[in-house]
Amino acid sequence: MYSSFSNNINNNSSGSRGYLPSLSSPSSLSLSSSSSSSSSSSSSSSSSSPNKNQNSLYRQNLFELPTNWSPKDKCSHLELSSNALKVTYKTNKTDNEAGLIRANCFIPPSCGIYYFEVTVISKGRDGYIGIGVCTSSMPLTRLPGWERNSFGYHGDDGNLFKGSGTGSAYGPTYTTGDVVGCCINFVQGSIFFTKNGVPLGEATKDIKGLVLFPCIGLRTPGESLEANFGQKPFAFDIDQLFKEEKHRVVKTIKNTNGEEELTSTQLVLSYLIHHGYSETVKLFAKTTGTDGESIDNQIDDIKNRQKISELLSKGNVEKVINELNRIYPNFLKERKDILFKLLCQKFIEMIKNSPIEEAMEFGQRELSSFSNDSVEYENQLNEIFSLIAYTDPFSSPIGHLLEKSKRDQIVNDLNCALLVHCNKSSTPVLEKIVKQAKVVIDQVVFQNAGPSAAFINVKEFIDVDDTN
Amino acid sequence: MNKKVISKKEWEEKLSEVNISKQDLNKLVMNFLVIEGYQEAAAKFQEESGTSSIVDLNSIADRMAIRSAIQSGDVEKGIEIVNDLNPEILDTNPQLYFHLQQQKLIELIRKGQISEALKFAQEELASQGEENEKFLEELEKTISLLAFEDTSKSPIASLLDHSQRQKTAGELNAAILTSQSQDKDPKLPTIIKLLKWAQTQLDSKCQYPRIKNFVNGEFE
Repeated sequence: MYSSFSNNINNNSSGSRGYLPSLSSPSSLSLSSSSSSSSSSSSSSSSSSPNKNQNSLYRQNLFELPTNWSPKDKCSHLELSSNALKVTYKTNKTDNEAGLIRANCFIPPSCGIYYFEVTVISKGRDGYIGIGVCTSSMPLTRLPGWERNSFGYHGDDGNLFKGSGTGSAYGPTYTTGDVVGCCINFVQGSIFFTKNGVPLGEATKDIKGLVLFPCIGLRTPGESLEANFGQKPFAFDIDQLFKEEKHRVVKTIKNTNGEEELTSTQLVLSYLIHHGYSETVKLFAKTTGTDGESIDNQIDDIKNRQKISELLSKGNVEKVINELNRIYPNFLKERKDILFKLLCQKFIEMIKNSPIEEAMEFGQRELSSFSNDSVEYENQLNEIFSLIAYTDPFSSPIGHLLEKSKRDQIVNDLNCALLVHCNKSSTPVLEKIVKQAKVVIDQVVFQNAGPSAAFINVKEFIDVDDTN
Repeated sequence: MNKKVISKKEWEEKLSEVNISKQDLNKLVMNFLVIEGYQEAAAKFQEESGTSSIVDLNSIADRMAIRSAIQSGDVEKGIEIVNDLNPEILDTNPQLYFHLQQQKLIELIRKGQISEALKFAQEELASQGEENEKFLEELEKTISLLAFEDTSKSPIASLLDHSQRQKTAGELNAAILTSQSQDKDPKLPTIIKLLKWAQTQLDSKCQYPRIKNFVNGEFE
């Protein structure tokens, strides 16, 4: 899980991912290509970040993962280090009773795959050590695997214990210096252990419906273990496992077969119509055989919107207003908000290209009366009027008003308003579909509705430059 | 178990928090046009939207010619161009080959060339049907079109739709792209699949505004 921590931290600190902002958690779990550096760079960034920080990132990102042992959920025979990672058996009674400690929270199944490792600092007297998972009801005086709904891999005999005091042969024994890992795969519903980075095979396939905590148990004096919940790189290559599981999930999704290709054709067509790409509409409709009367009827409307958009993106606002009044006579009367935006843009264009006196005169004549309508208009007017105060408005603090992107924004607003005016949807269905996909995937993870969604990053499905 | 209810208002807030730019959607559309082989539309789209393609649009030409042959009903010509391009494509893909032959049969039926259709089915398709149960089933279904004097009244009249041609053309197009080791799947259909898959998962836990119509985006 360390890769996920680090990815989140990377995303967060760089702040460069303005696009689909809340994708970070599931996306990082799916090891998105944009974070391909995760395995190498992650270790440094995660070890330098305190656990608390990682935790808060996860809470904000749909689920919370175990990050340390719980001082409250600990047998009194055990001593916990201040960073809550190292556990030592302390009692010196002759008949040593087992002592168990659970992690600070359960493993949310919606994380897809969870992995943690434990290093044996010392085998103590006898090395009666157990590592595994258990539920919250497991008594704190038992070793992992001894009770119902707990699973443990024990160091002294290498046996696997599954809800019973009698184990079965599973792996090699382990002792001082060894690193033992435990992987819970919620997609497969299975658990396996690793020793020094080597997987030891499936331990159980019977974890469905269980709320599981990482846990360790010790039994003789001097036994000491230190956990790694992703703070450091793992001995086992968990990234590879993530990739494989993700590949399986994506393949499953891709292999479902419906009418998606036909649906896509229609979505593309309606998208092209929406944005007024009239020539592309004609060609595409003709090639796909989706042309016909309904397209013919729309083509004039599409061309009108296209023409208006082009004029506006060239900054020719006056002509835009004339065309609007000619083609859609009631439109600007009904949409005073759009008229206001256009007039503001005209003022901005005049600041760029005309003598300042003309701009001022235009502002007073056409715009200033809007300030009586609402505070919002007034504020916007104050902002654009202040352009006059600068000898070089381009380098002024409000120079962004003069950029082309401001025009593009209005092009988009105007286009949407015209579509609404013509009783069309203001958002292309294509966009609705993409947004819905993103929100549903997030909710599947958040509501714990399925473990596979953790591997899905909608951004990767959209990003066409991504060759993955 | 009681399902959690997410209100329309709550849902719309979540939707509005998703930022996706027009540029990204344009790229998605370009990706679809290029991979599906709509060369002219792709070139025009590049011009009208200012979206550039990462693939050389000229490489679409062959795939385009094949697609247009199939979509205009000339399956024979489609097969010819594919074999000129790379004969292995059809040799190594019996299902695709069968679907092309099936499409050819459909075209014969459409044109009312009944005796040719029967002859073609017996001579070319029957042997493939013997080898594969699924092919046989599809073959029988197609042949049953002949039982209707007015084929549009047949329950399987959809085989005669333009969409059937498009489906066959799409399958062939994907096979060619794979043979050229290009990404054979356009992104958009996968996103729709993803959405359907995810909605099914979420249904188990929540009641929420799910999209039921993927063409017009209507909620349930």
